[in-house]
Amino acid sequence: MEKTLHQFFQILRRYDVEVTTTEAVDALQAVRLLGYGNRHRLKAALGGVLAKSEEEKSMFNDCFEGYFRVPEEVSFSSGDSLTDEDEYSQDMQEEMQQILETTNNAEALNELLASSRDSKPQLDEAQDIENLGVQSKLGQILLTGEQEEFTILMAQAARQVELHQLTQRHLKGRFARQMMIQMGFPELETEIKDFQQRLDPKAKHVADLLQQAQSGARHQVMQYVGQQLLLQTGNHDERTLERITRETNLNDLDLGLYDNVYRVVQKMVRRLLAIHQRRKKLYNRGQLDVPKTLRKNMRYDGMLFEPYWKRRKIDRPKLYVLVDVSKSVSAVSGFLLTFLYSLNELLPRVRAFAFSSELGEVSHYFEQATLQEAVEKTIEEFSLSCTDYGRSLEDFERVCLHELDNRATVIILGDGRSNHLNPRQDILKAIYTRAKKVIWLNPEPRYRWGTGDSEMPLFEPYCHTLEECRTLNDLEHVVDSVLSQHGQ
Amino acid sequence: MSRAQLNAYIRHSLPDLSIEELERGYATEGYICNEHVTTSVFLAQKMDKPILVEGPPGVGKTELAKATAKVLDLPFIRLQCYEGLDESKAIYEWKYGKQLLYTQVLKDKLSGILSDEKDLQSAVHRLRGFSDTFYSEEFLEPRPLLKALTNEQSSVLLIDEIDKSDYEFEAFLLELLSDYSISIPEIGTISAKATPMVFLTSNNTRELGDALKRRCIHLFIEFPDAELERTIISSRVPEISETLREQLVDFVQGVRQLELKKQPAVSETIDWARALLLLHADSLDAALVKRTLHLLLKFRQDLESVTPQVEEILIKGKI
Repeated sequence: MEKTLHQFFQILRRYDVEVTTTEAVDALQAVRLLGYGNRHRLKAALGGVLAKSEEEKSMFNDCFEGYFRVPEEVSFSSGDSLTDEDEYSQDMQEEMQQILETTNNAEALNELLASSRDSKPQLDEAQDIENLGVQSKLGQILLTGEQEEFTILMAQAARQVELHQLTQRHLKGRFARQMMIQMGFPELETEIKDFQQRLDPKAKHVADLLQQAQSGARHQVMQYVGQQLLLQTGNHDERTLERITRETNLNDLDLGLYDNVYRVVQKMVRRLLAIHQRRKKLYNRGQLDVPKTLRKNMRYDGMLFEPYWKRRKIDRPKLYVLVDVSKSVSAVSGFLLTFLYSLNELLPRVRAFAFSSELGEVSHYFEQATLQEAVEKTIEEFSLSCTDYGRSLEDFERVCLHELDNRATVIILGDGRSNHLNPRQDILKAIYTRAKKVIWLNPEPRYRWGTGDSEMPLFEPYCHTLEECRTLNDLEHVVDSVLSQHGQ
Repeated sequence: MSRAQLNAYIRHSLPDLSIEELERGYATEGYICNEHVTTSVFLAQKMDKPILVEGPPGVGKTELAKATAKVLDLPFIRLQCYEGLDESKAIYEWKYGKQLLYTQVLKDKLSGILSDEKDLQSAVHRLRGFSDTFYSEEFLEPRPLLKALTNEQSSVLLIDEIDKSDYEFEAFLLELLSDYSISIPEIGTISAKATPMVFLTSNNTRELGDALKRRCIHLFIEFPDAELERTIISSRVPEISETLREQLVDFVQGVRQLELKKQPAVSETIDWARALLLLHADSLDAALVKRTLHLLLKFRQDLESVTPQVEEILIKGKI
């Protein structure tokens, strides 16, 4: 069974559930302790040892259901070494029975078994199958209608042809053929021909039955191989998907896949949290304060028992985010806000403003609704009119300029295209003078800055940092640098 | 005793209960749980691994540790985590007062003992001959974690709300969780006399480190389904009538389907059941629910959003 579990680990890794060597060893130990008798317990045990977050847990559940699945594709046995075949088969049958009792597919399988049992009377008519001399193992299994045995045979064949190596769709047919050879389809074929040539009507009847069963069995093998392929490759290999999502221009991403993108964002956020939380703490405790230590230890006769550390008050930074939500920029804006509000543990004081022709605060949306809803509301409310940077900056000046001080960072995300209206760069200058840092993120490539109605050259002198920002990777980089500055 | 022998000894020091025995034990203690929970506890006990219990507040994470202590008949040690918790509060502290007295006594005695030494060098030489007790276990004040390790008997150690502690503290815990030992710089490593059964709980207010997660068996306790919740209520509030119990559980399950700031937990269902019992209620009606809804929902916004839907939820429950 170990081999089966190792294959399962491989699949989990492919689906982005990290399985380290220690965890693999733990999982094997857990399985050894519990056995395979109870599917629920097996799932609980493997889940407990292998899945380490809610996200991984749900991924694990999907993989478990897909991999340890009955009836057609019981991979319990797909990769096993069958050193003690008979004993193993017996165990396997018991296991199967138990799995059947607990699985969701039980009903479907029972129906299947019932139908195969229904077909038995026909066989009982030809009670003397053996007398008729059905020699091939596959033929016997098919005629008796024992689904379990067929599944075991299929799983053994899968192991022999190393089905777990199937990762490319065009090889599906080849693997299926190899499996059928291993399962004894060619022998069965010869046998059917043999029966058909006999004159005995009973033999003809058996031949018909065998042929019918054979085509059903072939279908099952194809289905099994197909499902294994899906599991091995996943039509969405998580890592490749993540890489593509990170590198694609956010405007080109299909927002129907918002959940996928959001998952990638959450992962990036966790990474940022892990890095910056530690940094914050390191910064938290200062050096040894000698005078205070001496004073504190006077009562111990000058013995230095209790050191006193200098503590610096943690500077809670203020972050103002102004996002352009006009059509060309809205996707990037949405994800920037998602990023920043996901980091509320590190950035508790984010104030978000959205603008196109007018500017308004949207922080309250993020406090009340889920991130996705808040982003949708923001875009819906502000994206209708044409962009006017001058007016939007005037609005910001009126609401917030007086609050800005040397703890404030202002992030502006926009393409700087103001429809030839007055861009009011003087207000940006005022912001630049008061705030600790002004960061401008532009989703357009640099060579387009200053072309047409782009006012970037006017804004540029009043930004501490000016960067292109089109993909999730760019966003992560920007947020990372904002957090680093606050940690210093 | 070699390390292997020590491990073998440690392994056997925990009671050895099967999953079924655990199930029965929990039921006797009034802690009703599913097979998932008992399987995890069984594995933790067999594999000498801590359990990290995660889940929304009020699903019985802390209760699980307490119930386990009762089922296994072991002493229960609890460490509540919070921001700023450090090793002096969680692991050990030196008894400064006693150490100070010791130095005073030493000073007095030393002058007598060393008076016949001719020069400083020989005095220092002689001093080296004495054992160093200044930093010894004698002056060590054990805090919960060290207590759990130095106990002669195994214990159930609950490290509650680990997500509230700092990253540094999480790092301190790594040694304890994997080797059941603690290193004290002045003394050395103290290993467990009898391995404790460790429960860590987290409400996920922050992401825990991978190193910590790797060392634990994970258990996610979710809100119970209707059937389990009914069993819980009948175990904790046995006096309640069957009709009321059915209605109450269906209503709570209905409320959990809504988008709320805080979903009602099992503990709140129990409180509500007790309150209804005090009010001599036999069945639920909209007026009664509205009057007592604050026992179930703890936020004003939640109350405001659920109140208008009470009738609807009650009808759905009946269906």
